[in-house]
Amino acid sequence: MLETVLFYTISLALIVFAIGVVASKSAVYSVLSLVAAMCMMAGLFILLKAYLVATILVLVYAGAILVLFLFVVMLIDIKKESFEIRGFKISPWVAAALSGIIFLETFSVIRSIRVVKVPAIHGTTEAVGHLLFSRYLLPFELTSFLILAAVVSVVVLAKKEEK
Amino acid sequence: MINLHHYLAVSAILFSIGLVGILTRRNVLMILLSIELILNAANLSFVSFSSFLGDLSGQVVVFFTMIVAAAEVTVGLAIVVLLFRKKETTNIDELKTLKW
Repeated sequence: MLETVLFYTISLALIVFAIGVVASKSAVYSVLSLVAAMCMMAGLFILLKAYLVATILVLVYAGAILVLFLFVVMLIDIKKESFEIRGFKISPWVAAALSGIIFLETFSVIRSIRVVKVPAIHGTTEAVGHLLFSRYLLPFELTSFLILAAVVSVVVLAKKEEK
Repeated sequence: MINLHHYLAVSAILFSIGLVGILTRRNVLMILLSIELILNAANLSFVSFSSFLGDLSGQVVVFFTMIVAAAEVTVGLAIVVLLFRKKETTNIDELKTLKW
């Protein structure tokens, strides 16, 4: 019973914050509502007993990645941006209709999935860590190369050109 | 009783909202934010499948998705800063040098 109430409350908040991300005029408010949406999603992960992933979502995603977003949004002077629209523009109604069609298709796929009863698993740090360092050891090591490539490319992109 | 379908429906709703954001917003930063929303909708469906099928591999995949998203965001934001420095705009209608 408690789980049902929590699920509906958190999902409602999550959807409201997600609409806030795409609908708000200012980019700062968008980033802040994405932070709130990530916290709500961490709540859903906890309901699904994925504790480690929920913690990482709040710490890394809401804490680091979105703060980086906030830095860039505040660095870029939005007032300089011109809001006049030229060329091809999709009206919000067409976009909503397209997304609605895709949602309905996804929903019909979801309805066709059969639910099987399995014992509940707990995604604790120990369990996920065991899996990460045994079966997924090679991909885990390869992600460090990805991070290294990202760091090097950002440094190369962001440095000033030498005259 | 909450089962797999409820979580997948929330994930599909989030995906659609992110898609609306990508199609309607004209600011590069807003498009990146909508992509983040879509990535997290996928994460939610991974975790719910993992939880309801009794296999932890889905949560490991979410871990990897977050790492890829972090790399994507850093490189994307560096490109946005560079674009703003060179072209003084973040509006994608004015960034059309790659169009034919």
